Amino acid sequence: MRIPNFLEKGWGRVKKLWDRLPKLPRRWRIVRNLTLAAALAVLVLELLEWPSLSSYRAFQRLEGAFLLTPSRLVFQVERGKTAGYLSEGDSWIAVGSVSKFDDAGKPLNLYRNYALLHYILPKEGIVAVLLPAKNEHNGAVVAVWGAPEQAVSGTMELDLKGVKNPFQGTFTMRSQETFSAQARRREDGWFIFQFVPHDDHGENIRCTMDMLMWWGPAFSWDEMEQPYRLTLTDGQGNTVAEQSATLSPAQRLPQWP
Amino acid sequence: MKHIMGMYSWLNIAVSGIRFGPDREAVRRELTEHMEDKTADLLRIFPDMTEEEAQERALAGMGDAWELKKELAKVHTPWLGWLWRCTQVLVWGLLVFSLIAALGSGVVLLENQTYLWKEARQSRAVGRALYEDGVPDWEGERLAVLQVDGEERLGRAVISVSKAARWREPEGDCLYLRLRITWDRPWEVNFMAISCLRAEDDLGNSYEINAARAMQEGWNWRQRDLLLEGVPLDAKVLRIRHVWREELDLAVDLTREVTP
Repeated sequence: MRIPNFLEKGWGRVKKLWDRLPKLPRRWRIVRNLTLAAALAVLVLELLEWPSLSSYRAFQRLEGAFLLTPSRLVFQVERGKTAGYLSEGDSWIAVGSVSKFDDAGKPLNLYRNYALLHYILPKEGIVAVLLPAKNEHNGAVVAVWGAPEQAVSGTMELDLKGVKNPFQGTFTMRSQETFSAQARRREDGWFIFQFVPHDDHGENIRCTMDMLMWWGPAFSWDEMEQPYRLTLTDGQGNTVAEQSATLSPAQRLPQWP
Repeated sequence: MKHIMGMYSWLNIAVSGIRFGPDREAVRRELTEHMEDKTADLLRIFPDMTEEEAQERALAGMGDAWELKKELAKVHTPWLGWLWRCTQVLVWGLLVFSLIAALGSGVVLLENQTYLWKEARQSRAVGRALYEDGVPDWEGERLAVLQVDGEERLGRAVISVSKAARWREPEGDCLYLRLRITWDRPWEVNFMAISCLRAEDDLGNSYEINAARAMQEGWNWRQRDLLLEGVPLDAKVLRIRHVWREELDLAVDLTREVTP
């Protein structure tokens, strides 16, 4: 195949121009190349919309975006392509999720971390937050902050109701189910309640918790607002605090550059 | 033939101390040219001399190959050459990578940038109308321009207020405030961060920060000309606070009026 004439001429002109340019010493060529590489790296990152290297970094970035720094990671839970993070600052609690999706249709089909802040709550009274990712048992995780100092252990009962069934026709679900979990005070004062879905349902009946955690964190605001009862006890088993309330509805704040 | 072999072996010995391949070849070329020039000179000066003889004498005049090898090895350190080659590969790799990335998002990025440039021009015009001598394209009358300045750091960002003006609009009196958030890390910039802020005056009134007349953005900052409705004329100080954090307390003095 012959190279078209205009291409050959064009290339010849470029070569001539290149030869006419003053030749830098090798040290300066290295400096020039490194400067060019830095500029190109910024361009690539800009074109890729500054991807975050890990899901935790994506969460940290979202905290920074909402002016919630410096903070401390309290707990994280990861299941499949979704991770849930709980962090605390001096006066606030932040809960977020990071999901991995690919850039379908783009030449560089990279997996990206999409972060969402589900809750930002002030540290006032006893605060209970639902983490937006499943634990290893496919169940929910609820973290409690602000327990009285004497409290060393606690029990939480979660009443799940009004959860939508995305598989209507294939599976059925009970309209309400109650779940219970125990936790001990951690060194940092937090209580982490790990729930386990019920496994005694019949065929074609799915557990409400399984459905909520499959569906709720990603798509729902008000479904996360579920009632709970919390009992905190001291070392002797005496009740030191009780609270009946509902979990906060999700705020679901994304980064909007 | 013998003298050609001699020249090649001399060249091979002389350049064998140079460890960076491209340099070795360049020096070999240079030495060959030098030898050829010398041969040509000898043939010009002594027309009776044969080419073979001239080449032999030229080679003899080049000196000891082993000594030259030592000298050349000292001058040509390989690491600089390899570093240069690495930077070349890096530049070409990034160039290819950026072209592939541009295929995916370059058009969208360009469209966004064009939109932002238009917005920025419009926002500057609104800014001039709000605080300077520009003409507003909305119904309203400027009552006073206030001289305000203040900034406070909150985590990895700085919140600042640089301009303010009181206006009378058909909906009532209002206060315009130019508020900017500058992030230390450009990848954390977020237009929605402004919705985490609230304002309260010294009379105990609270204002939600959600309406703005104009928006502007830069590499690591976002700015809004906020519209706070119903701020009384006798309010002397406005405090900007974070909805969930107690640390932010940016006081804006509303008493320093400047003639419009």
